[in-house]
Amino acid sequence: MSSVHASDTRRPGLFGAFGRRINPLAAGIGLAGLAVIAALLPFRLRAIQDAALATAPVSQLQEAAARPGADARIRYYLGAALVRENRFPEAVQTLTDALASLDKPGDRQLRARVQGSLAEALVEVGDDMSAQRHLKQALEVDAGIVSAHLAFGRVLRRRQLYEPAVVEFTAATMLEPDNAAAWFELGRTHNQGRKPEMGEPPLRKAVKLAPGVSLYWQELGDSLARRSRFTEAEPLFRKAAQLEPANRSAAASVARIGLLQARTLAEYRKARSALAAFADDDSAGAFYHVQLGMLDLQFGDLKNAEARLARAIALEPSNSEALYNLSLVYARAGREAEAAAARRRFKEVVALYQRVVVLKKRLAAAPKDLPLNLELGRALVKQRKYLEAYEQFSYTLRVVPTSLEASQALGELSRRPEVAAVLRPGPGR
Amino acid sequence: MSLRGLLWVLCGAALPAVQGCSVARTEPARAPAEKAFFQDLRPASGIDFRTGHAGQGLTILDTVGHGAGLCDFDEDGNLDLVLLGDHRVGVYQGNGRFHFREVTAASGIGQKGKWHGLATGDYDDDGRIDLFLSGYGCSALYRNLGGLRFRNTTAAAGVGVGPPEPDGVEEWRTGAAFLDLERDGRLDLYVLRYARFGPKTPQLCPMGARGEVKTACDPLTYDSQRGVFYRNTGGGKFRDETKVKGFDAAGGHGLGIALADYDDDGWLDIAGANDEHPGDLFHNVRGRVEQVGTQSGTAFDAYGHVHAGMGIDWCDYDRDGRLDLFVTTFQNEEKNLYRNLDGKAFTDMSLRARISEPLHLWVSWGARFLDYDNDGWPDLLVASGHVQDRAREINPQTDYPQPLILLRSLLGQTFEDVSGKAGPALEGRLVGRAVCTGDIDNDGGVDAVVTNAEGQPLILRNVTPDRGHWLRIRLEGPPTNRQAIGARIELKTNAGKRVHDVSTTGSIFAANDVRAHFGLGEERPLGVRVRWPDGKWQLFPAPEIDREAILRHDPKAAD
Repeated sequence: MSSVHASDTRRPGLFGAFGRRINPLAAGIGLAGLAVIAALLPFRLRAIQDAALATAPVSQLQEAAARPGADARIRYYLGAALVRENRFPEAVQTLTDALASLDKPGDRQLRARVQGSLAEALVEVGDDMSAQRHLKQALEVDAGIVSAHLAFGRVLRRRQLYEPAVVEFTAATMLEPDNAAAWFELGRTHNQGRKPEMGEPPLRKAVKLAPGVSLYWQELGDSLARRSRFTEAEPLFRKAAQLEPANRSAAASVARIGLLQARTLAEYRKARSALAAFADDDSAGAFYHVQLGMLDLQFGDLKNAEARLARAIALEPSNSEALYNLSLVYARAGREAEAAAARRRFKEVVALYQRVVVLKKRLAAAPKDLPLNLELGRALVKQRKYLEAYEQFSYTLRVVPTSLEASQALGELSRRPEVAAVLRPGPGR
Repeated sequence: MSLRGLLWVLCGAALPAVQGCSVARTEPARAPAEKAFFQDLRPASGIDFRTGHAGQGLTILDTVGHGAGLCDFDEDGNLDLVLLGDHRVGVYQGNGRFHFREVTAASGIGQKGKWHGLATGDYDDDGRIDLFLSGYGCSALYRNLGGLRFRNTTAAAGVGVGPPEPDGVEEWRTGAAFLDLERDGRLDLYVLRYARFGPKTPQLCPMGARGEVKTACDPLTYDSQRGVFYRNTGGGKFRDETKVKGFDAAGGHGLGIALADYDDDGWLDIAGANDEHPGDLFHNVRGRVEQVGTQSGTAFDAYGHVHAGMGIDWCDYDRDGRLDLFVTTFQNEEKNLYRNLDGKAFTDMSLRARISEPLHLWVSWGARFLDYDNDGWPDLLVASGHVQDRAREINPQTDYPQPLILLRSLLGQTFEDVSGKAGPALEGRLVGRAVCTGDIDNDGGVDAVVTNAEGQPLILRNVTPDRGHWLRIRLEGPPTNRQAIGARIELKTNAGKRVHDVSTTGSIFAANDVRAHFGLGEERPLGVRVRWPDGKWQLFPAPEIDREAILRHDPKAAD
């Protein structure tokens, strides 16, 4: 329900804490005496410059950065602009260069800001581990960097650590109460953390602050749809689709709501054909295929249900929702052997998932328990979540430095391509 | 403290305010009722029974709640009431006019324990209904001696709890049911069990974004305990045959239990609601069960997700002749209405039946199908209440006490939330747990008792205006299993066939009125067919409407 296309994201809030915190100062200058103005002149000039740089288009910043003698500040603003335009790999390179050129102790504040934006870009290119390192350093220098809170929140959310992510996004909303992106991220985190009733208020705020952003309307619709308030959700999805016709997932959400509410065969058929159009390009992965397969099954169309669910499994072999419903399709069709096989696979996937959930909950009560920590690491390896497993064994080793198993596991995991790619020195690391 | 540390603290403190900002709570406003459907008669009923914890930090053991049972123990034609609590049982004799006299002291029911569930049934075939109680580290079987006096026969019957484990963990017994699994005429006993909780297991867990609130731990913090099946071997004795009979395949963390012959093969099946574990559906294959929860489609929600199953009930809500299953769950989970498609497969109708929306936010426990307006279409009464007494500090959109929801069936297709029209009794909030139903005043309207984990129970009299016609059927079985637990009643009317399986189970921690209630609206009964627990059918002429019919087993007529 909450699948997002990268092109949907806009980050009006990333104009940054820096500019915002200086604006009151600039306003204050107008009210102060000449002596004060004189005293603050260097800062004021810097503020004006920064404000201009923060809103400059990428092309101008690129020109400025290409000039001989261009300083790290220009490259920082270029990097931040690239982040705003979702050009993340370029942003990572630019900000890494900026960071490398910042060696003087007096550059701490700027360094922190560069690291905040760099982390944000790293999150988007999937390098959470490097991002986390930069975020930690940036926030230690300046806890007021909104972009760092947002990036850190996204890292945590991606790891399904919803409650700590909520803290980060809440911090961002407190630092910049008019930052629509911060409210949006807060709401989205509640939605994904299965607390959509808590997602609704911040999302309403985001929509109020930035009524032109399609994604915000869509996420607000999602917070209602997750609570089965389809009648209220539908116009919000329609609004999202209308604001950005390219936002296919908003249009698909409209179709999906129609399907979920269908009671008669005619309603089901009509809604089905609308959603099938979105599912068929596979851009949203297995999600819409599973939706269609489930509803096909409920309406007794076993042939279509099987086709949809099989396609979902082809896209995501461990998709438990598809495996479960496919097992029911086979059972309804009297194909017992196939039903049993699908059921067995479903139970394996669910048992492993459930075990990870159990271990995480138990570790919350006893975070230094060695057997539990090791078991969680092993379970994550079984789930093929190698990066997360690497982090888990790293944590275990910090808690119990003598753990041979954790040490060995780290060695093995670091040789896996997925982990090695992140650990290898490169841009941003 | 670092600046960052300070920010964390500030955020933690400000979270509730920020998250609840400027938007009205999502709960729908309730319009004043014109004519109430239910009245809470507890204040004038003679019942003074309170459960609660007075603000102490509540562990998971404290949050599970306590049950209630409605049964005519003294055979005077009026339902009596049993209420359970911590180290307390209340036994009340009903006079049929919503007044109850407490007879606990004289009843002989005095064993102390943290009681949760109960079951009623005549296990010794003496014609009187006995009582089984289950709780944490305790069980009690009370043989009914008549005149509302009971004798504790737990030890002699062999149904007591075992000794505590070395780490102090005790058996945690929850829902329970009497049933004749093998159709040998004797009532066996199935007792669900919950989780391994004890003095050395975690008691309170940190919750909230920064772990700032300590409250009851998640069920998954604890390993499962699984139910125990006692076979009635005669002579007032039972034997543990859990494995022999196939009950070791239970999902664990069991809470609610409901019995019905869902595949209409004449053998009573068992459904169990399991907290954060796949639900049980035990298909009775000639006296031994097989677990068919997953393949039937009732163990998970429609997506195959595990849910927190708590309350459970069977009913043919759409009147297609097959018994459907309803399961209550935690907040932000679907409350699943599983429609029985063919006696084998089920499909989740919670979205299409419009049950999902009104219940989505609540932590729901006891639930009973009841046709409160006697229009012929079974409605639903659902009790809710959070498990965390400090729930509001963690999530300002919810709270510990929650509303009691009445869903009216619209021709068995969809349900409409009519709680706002149901009167003052449903306007307040309570930490709802068990719902048990029965016609307390024998006036043809189904009444209900709802237990409250933090206060007095609701004793709800059905005062719905303009109720339809009705028919109540009481079966008198053969000399053994005289209540005819497991019998099927088929009522034929001019509008079709209605089915009901005789049982006192359903909801959570509840023993319900054993009599079958049929709302008729304007329908006319044409005849009744009963399949007795031994599998034999017997035909009866159409009973008169708006009264109770007693249908007696006749070995000559049954075939």
